[in-house]
Amino acid sequence: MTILRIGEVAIISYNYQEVEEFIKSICDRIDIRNDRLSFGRFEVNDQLALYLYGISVDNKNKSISWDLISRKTLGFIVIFDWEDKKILDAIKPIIDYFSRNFNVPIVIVASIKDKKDPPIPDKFFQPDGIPLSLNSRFTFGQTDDPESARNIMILLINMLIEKLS
Amino acid sequence: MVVESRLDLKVSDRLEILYHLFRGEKISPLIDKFDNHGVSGFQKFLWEKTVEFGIVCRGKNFDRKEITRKMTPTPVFQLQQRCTQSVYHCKGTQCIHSNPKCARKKIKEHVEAMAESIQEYIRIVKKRELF
Repeated sequence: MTILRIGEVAIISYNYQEVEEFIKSICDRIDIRNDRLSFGRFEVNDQLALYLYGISVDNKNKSISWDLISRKTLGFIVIFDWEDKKILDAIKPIIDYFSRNFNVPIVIVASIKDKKDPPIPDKFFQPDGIPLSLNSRFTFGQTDDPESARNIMILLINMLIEKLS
Repeated sequence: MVVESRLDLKVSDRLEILYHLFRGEKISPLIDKFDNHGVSGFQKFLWEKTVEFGIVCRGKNFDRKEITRKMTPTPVFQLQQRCTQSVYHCKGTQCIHSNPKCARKKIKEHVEAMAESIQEYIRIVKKRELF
């Protein structure tokens, strides 16, 4: 009997569209969707699957129990719109909360419209991102582009491997 | 490799620095937001990024003097400030606590020099990519 191992990754953004685009770029489809959460499944093979939980934090009236959500998370991908400084300011406390409270990789993604035209040449942030701390890296990415989304996932997985080795 | 110490900034502060940097904005005004430990952390973080970007741009031809030559030499700065401390003290990490006004002035200049170097590295790589 084959045992399926599951790895969970949380995708966080103020914009639910960005979260869904990202999950769809990796998983082809969204399996479950409600007003706060989107869920997609990426099956690597019959023994390993990645579950992507997309959490949109745009509703300020509802608090999120990050400690419950994050208990088994392999890592976080936090997405913000590079052109919207207000979103960056809003997402900062979440980034600090994750980096203070969870010893897992965090990839912070500045979402851009065209991956071929990033604000700085990709040589500076591809493939490893720009280190911000032991557990966090910054990169640019196009959330609705499968190749770009895949690169972000690979970066997160490489950070996990580095942590283990 | 990133080594964390008490000088370290919050991850969000580092992100904010990169945000302004990659938009080509002046970053020395950000220093006013930080306490003395934070100012030293700011300088340390930016130095690391400048070196990283320098290495990506220049490869093994990278020379840290490319960055430091944009900064006022410490003996000259001390003379300008009529400072009688030893040169060794004028790093901004020690006198930031005893004479924060002077140290912040020096660090602001250094930070702008580093930001200028990063902008230069970005321009060079962009230009190279066009050809």
